[in-house]
Amino acid sequence: MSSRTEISAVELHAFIDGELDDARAQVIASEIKTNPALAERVAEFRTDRAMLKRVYGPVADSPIPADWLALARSPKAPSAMSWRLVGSIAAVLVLAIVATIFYRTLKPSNGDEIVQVALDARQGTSGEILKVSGKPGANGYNGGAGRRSIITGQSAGPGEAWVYSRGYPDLPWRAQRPRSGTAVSRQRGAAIYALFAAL
Amino acid sequence: MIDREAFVNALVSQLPHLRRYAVAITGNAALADDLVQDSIERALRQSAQLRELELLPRWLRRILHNLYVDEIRRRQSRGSLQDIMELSDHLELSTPALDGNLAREFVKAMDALSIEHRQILLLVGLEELSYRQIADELEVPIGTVMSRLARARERLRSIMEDGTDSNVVLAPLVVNDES
Repeated sequence: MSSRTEISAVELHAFIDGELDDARAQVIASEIKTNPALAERVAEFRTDRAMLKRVYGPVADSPIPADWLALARSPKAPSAMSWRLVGSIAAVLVLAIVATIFYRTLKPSNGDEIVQVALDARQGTSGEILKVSGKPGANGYNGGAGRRSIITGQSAGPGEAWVYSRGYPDLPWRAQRPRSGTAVSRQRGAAIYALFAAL
Repeated sequence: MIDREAFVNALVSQLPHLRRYAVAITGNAALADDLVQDSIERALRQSAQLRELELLPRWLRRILHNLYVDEIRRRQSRGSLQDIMELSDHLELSTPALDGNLAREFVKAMDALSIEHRQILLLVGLEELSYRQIADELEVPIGTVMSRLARARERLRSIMEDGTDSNVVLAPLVVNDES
C-alpha cells in the first residue's frame, strides 16, 4: 500500500497565511519539518510577505499633507465635475462658439446669393474684385463696364457694410448703380471679401 | 445614511493606510499622492453610496484602484506607459535602508508584476485581510483569490531569484511518497 502526500502550491500559500484548516495545516507542518527544501521554500515566501510590511509599511507613518486634511474637512463636497471635465466642456463650448461665429459670418443672408456673387465675381470675364470705400451710391461701385465687383464699403448703418453683386455693364461706370445690394454685418463683409480674395 | 462628520473622521483616519497602499500598488510616490487626492475628492462626492462605515477602507481602495487603472489606460493611449514601468528607481522609501539592495530589488520585482498580482499580494501581506475579505472586496470566488495569490507569490519569487517573469505553473508539490 502506498501513501502519497501532495501539497499543492495553493495549499502551501494558504498554510503560510494561516488559512488552512487545522488538520491539513498539521500535515503540512509535519512535512516541512522533514523536508528541508520545502522548509526553505516556505521561509522564502514568508520573507517576501514580511518584506511588504518592511518596505511599504513606514509610508503610513509619514505626515498627511495639510491640503488633504483641508479637502476632507471642507464643508462642501467637491463639485461633481473635475477640473479636467470642466476644461473639456469649456474647450467644446469655445469651439462651438467659434464655429457658430464663423458659420454666421460666412452664411449668405439670402440663400447662397453672396457666395454665388463671389464666385461670379471671381469667374467673370474680368474677374476683378474691387473693394471700394464709401457709402452706397457715393462713388465707384464698379471698376468699369462688364466688370463684376464686390464692394465692401464703409458702414451703411451701425455695424453694417454693403455687398453688391454687380453693376450694369451697359452703362458708363459713373452711371452705374448696383443691381442688387445686401446689407451684411461689417464682420461678414470683411470675411466675404477675404474669401473672395482667396478664391 | 452615514453621518457626515463620522464619515469625514473615518476618511481622515484612513488616509495614511490609503497612501501606503497607493505607493505600494503604483511604485511611485508622486503618482500615489495624486491618486489619493483624487480618491478623497471622489469619496466625498460619492459618500452617499457607502452603506456602512466599516466598509470604508475597502471602498477607498476600490476607488483608488479604479483611478489607477484609468490612469494607466490614459498613459497607454498616450504611449507613455514606460513612465510607469520605470518608477521603481525613484520610489522614495521613507524606511531606513534596513535591507539595502534587497529592498530595492523587492520594489523592482513588485513593479514587474501585473496590477492584479500586486493587488492580491498587498491585500494579504500589507492590509492583512483574510481570503474571505479579499474575495468580497474583489468580488471573486475564494478559490480565485487562492490561485491568484499563489501565482503572484511564485512569480514574485521567480523575479527575485533570477529576474525572469516567466509563467508560473502551479504544479502539486510532491513532498513525500511512502510505501
